[in-house]
Amino acid sequence: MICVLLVFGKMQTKAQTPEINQNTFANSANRMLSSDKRLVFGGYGQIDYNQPFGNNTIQNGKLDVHRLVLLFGYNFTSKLSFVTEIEVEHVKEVFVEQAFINYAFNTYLNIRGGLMLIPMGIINENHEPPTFNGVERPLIDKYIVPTTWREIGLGVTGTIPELSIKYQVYLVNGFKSYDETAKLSGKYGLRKGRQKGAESIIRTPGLAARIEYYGVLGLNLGLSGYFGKTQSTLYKQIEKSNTGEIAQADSSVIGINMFGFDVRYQRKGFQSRGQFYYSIHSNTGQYNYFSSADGIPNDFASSMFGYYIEAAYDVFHTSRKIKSELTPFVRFSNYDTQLTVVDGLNKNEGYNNTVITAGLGWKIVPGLAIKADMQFFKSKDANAFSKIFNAGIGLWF
Amino acid sequence: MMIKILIRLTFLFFWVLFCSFYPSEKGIQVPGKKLNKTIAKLWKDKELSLKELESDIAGLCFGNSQLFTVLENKDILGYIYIGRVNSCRSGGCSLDTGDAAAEFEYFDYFFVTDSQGKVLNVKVYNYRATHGHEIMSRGWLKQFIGYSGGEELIYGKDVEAISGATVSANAINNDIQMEVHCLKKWLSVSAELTIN
Repeated sequence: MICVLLVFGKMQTKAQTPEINQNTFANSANRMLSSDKRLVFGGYGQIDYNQPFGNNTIQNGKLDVHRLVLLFGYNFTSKLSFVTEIEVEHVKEVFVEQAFINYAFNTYLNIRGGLMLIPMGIINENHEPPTFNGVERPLIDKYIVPTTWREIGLGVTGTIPELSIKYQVYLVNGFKSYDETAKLSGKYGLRKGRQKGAESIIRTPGLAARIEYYGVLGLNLGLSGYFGKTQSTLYKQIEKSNTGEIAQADSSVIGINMFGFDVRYQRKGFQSRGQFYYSIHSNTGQYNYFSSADGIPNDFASSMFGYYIEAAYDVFHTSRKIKSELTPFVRFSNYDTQLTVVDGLNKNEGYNNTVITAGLGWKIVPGLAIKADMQFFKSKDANAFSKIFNAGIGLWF
Repeated sequence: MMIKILIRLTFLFFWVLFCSFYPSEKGIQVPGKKLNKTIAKLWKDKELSLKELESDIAGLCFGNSQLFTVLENKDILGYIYIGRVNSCRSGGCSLDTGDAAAEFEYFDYFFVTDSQGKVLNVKVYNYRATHGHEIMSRGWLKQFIGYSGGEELIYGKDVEAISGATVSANAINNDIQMEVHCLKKWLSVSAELTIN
């Protein structure tokens, strides 16, 4: 009440008490604000069936509980909270996917620290299966941005409602490029270099930032950036005067400047998305030669890129009776984990892939989707498309 | 250089921790400035005053939320509802059950209605959830203007869905409808009383 008085100054605040039978409102009194549950529990998961076929071959399919994630959150105070996600992949591999504390000063400013998702693109942060089309995540979110990409860090995030902008700026640990052998490669890009906050090593943190604009009805624009150097186990007890060893360790490190741009637009049952990534790497010449295996230099790229565009339509949108969503979609994607390479290295055209995905999703309720799709893959050096049929269940609660 | 940054960050971290143990204000804060601006825009050139309804009735119907009457002299021009919606993290408590209850992630908002309970404006002013901030967009909230408790607003059909804000968008869609219904009911009962 003090607050109200202060705010309204001269305005009257006299209580008005009409005599009404209280029972009138008993049924609508389902607001539960007074309860004080500080612990929340949730989760998401996907169970997939992948069946490659074609090219006159007989191939096994795969049935997999791909991910099952359990989320716990706890509020210490109304401003200080802790969030953790524990992920079980393929039934048996356990990871802590997120574990951070968040202190909310207000809508504009939160400070966050711990194991966090790197804010790069749409999927890395929003990967609950019912929220994206297709059984599997888009492939550029595997090979260019290694989702689920998470490291330990510290930073700020908030929303500026007046400008319809959300921002995130974090200092985070980087990839590990060298650990007795090279961790980065032309085939997998940065993926094998993720440290995931597990006994990770650090010498120089990276900067990850993202800004989103959501001011126009149905539209969300995002711009992400990541700038940092990789970490290497070679910086181990090197004396500061030992220039030779320092130079050697420096050769095992690369610099990364990655940019992401994404658009989401949704109106009257029509949904579309576009995602573009471009990642530039420095020092790859030294890195590739330093991490040669059997005299053959490593093939990590000087730059990588990938994009997809996707369109979907909810065919039940116009029906007021049917509340579920039946959404056919098509996605066109191209990515190259070796867009450019240093002089002296040959580009492998097998790393330049075109993928067309077409399928159907039936979202029975917002938290549960049954999906099926066909994916056609073709690398630049291949003659024909290879095909995979995918089907699966995606859920989130 | 690196060490200095680390020390500073560590200091910052503990400072934040320390601050958080100071008792923070509980309950919903009334966004005075925003509210005054909104009603001044809706009823131009009128001398407005607000009166909070503190009756048991309002309490029963609206829980911990607050309801104000907008008055010009003694004429009721409209009503303001201020309340909190539990939104939950994506994958962070039950979707769409209405009694999710966990005050873990939430947002505070208000809407202004005319004297008949028809929505004139909606604003989300305090957003405490990690996802779904897009619902604060003025363009999106405009969709509720004109709602007066008629046919159900179906999320994704009558109200545009927002990708990445399913939980919050669903929650506010349900809440506005529920509160408007409640307000309408209250209005009809108090009207009956006045007649009697």
